[in-house]
Amino acid sequence: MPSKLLLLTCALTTVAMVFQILPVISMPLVNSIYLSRYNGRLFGVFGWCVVSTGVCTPARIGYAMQCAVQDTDGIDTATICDLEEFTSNFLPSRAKRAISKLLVVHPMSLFFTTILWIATIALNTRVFARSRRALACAVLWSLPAVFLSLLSFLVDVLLFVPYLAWPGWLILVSTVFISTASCIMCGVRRSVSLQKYEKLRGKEVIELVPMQSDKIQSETLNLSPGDSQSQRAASLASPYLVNKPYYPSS
Amino acid sequence: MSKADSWRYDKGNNTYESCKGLNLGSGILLRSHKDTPMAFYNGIHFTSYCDNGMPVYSALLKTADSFPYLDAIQQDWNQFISVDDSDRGPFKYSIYAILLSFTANFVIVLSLTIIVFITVRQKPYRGASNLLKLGSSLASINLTIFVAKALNLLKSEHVNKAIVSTDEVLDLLGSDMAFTCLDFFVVLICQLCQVQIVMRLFSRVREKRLVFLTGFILSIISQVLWAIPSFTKLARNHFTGGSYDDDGLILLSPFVYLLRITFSAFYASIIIFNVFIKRQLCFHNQRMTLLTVITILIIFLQPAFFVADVTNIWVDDLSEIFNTTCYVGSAVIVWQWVDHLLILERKVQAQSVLGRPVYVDDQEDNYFARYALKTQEPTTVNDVTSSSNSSGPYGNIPSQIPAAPDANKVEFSERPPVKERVWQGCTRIVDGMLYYTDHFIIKGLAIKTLSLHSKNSSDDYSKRKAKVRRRIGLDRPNEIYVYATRDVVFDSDEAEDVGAVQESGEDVFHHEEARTFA
Repeated sequence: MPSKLLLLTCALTTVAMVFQILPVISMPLVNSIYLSRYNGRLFGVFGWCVVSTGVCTPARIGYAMQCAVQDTDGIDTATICDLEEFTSNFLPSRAKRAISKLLVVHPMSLFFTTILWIATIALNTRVFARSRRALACAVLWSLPAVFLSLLSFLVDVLLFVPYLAWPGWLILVSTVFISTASCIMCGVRRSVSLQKYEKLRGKEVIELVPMQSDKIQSETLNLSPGDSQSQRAASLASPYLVNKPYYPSS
Repeated sequence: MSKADSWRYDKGNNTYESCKGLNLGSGILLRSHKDTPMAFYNGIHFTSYCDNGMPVYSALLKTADSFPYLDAIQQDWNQFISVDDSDRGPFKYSIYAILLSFTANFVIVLSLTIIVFITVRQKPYRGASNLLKLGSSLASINLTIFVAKALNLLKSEHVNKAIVSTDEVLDLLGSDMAFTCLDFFVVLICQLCQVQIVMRLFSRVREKRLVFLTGFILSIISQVLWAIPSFTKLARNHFTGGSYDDDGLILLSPFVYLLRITFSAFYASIIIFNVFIKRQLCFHNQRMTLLTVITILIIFLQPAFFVADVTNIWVDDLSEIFNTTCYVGSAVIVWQWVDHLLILERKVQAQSVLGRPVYVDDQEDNYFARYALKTQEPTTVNDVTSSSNSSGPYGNIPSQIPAAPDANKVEFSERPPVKERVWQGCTRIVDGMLYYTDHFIIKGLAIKTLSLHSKNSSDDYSKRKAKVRRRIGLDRPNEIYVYATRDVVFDSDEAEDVGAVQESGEDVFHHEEARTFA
């Protein structure tokens, strides 16, 4: 059962990582993906482009005002992207342009999610599948991953609402997936530690009395009193016995 | 928060002629002072009083006999209140709505403070309840001072300038040193209370420890990051008058804002998760259902304000004062909810056959006891016999007692290597943190089991009393039973006393049965 859950965790983090890659490779890296379209501009994580001319700013953290245009010799030259005055209508939410530097949380979130994805893949191998320490590390690593993913979504909302495009909303889905994976890993860690504790307790000799097979056992003892050791071993292996200590679910 | 200091641009771009100045022309008689005679002016340039280029309310009394407003001023005012895109124009953004918000927040926080002092139990979470009381009291004091200052400011503007300014009141939120300082401590205390609430929701000691350390560190980081732009802006406003936008501090303000929203979203997720897994208890009775619903509403208040903020700039101005109410509410009400939930949980566990779940961490005290026995054992064994193989039942526990110094061994007082010293220092720091965590937080706040006999459980007491009365028969004092007496007859006497048995009355009980019944 834990292996299936770990497989599900791996699937969830894979989808979450793919969903986080899409906004990061948005404008100006890939022209068809953008976080928002507003006032004739397409916004991405590392820059923005003008729809009419197709000119984009160089890729950097924080939105620049200089566009990279290639001259006749193919050399990049900087020019003003738009003749329009950049005032309150630059971003959809009227946030000041300096706030766009907060989009740096997108690549940070992708980095944490990628490491988490690698960790979930490692947890599906035989070496780490039963390691409580590896599971605990993955759970602890997932906390900043969820945190940064949620922060990325909030930054997108703050900058681009009400013109947030689908890659921005994918971040919310990614956050939900990572948090679900984190909860599953937490549960798997508990079950693994429980199984290890059961194994530890299983070595102790505990005298267990069968509850439903009392009569059967007494009858068999009467029939063949000399073979008591084998009967006792058989009764301990009987499915009627409760040979597991009680562990409440929490 | 002053609009010039905000990380967003103003909403309205309209320019009002009356704010820039009106040329009224000639032909106006004016008296500049009551002692000077009236004079005739050829050119008059009139500028109306405005806040950030927008018209303000006039506090002048207007009657049928008074002079009418200038047409340009009246036109600007009509434009100001009619444009829906305007920043302050419509009635919902006016000073009345702001005053209503201030006073509503003040009343809510005051009520929560009274609730804390009346209902929150002192024991067993003495430190946490004191922290909660301190936080809510500080919030009440802060809002009292703020409302008093706001009213005083409105009064002075009414008296001196005959206007009612909205921006001046809102500027108090960011420019008042007392409000900012107290708000810093209120939010920090409420965040620590939230950490303790989350700790109470986890059962295992290791989880409590992790929650405490993580929550404490994040709260401190959040507040320090909040304090940097707030106090820098405050200091510049008070001392040098520099611009807030000059450096990168403008980036920190929205970042901390989003950080707080993220933390509150985490907090809400944890509470909702617990509501879901303990839904039987959360909706156990009507009172608990109501408390659960209020809890859910209050924990989503801050994320809801974020959504309202990104769609409406008006909330951004009041975010500080709404923050105080949200933090105090999400600490006090959720504390009450957790208190009731844990009491119900303990009751269910007390009535069940299996009782309270015991975790591995709970046995640590047992390990300590065994460790103490282990440390005593070698000395005892050495005293009694000289045999060395006396591991006994505690042989698996590694002994960390330093061995007794051997008399034949020469020891030098050399300093340990750097690596070992660094390791020892790190170990000492971690041990110290764990010690304080366990003793001041977990031992004092969380491990102690909740007493089932709470202050407000008088109904439980009456139920128990009724049960005892019913058990001993005091609930039916008018029912009279007539008992028969029966002599014990032995077989040897049976022949002689056959007819000695006497029976009388309709309700006959044997003597033994009657005693058992009683």
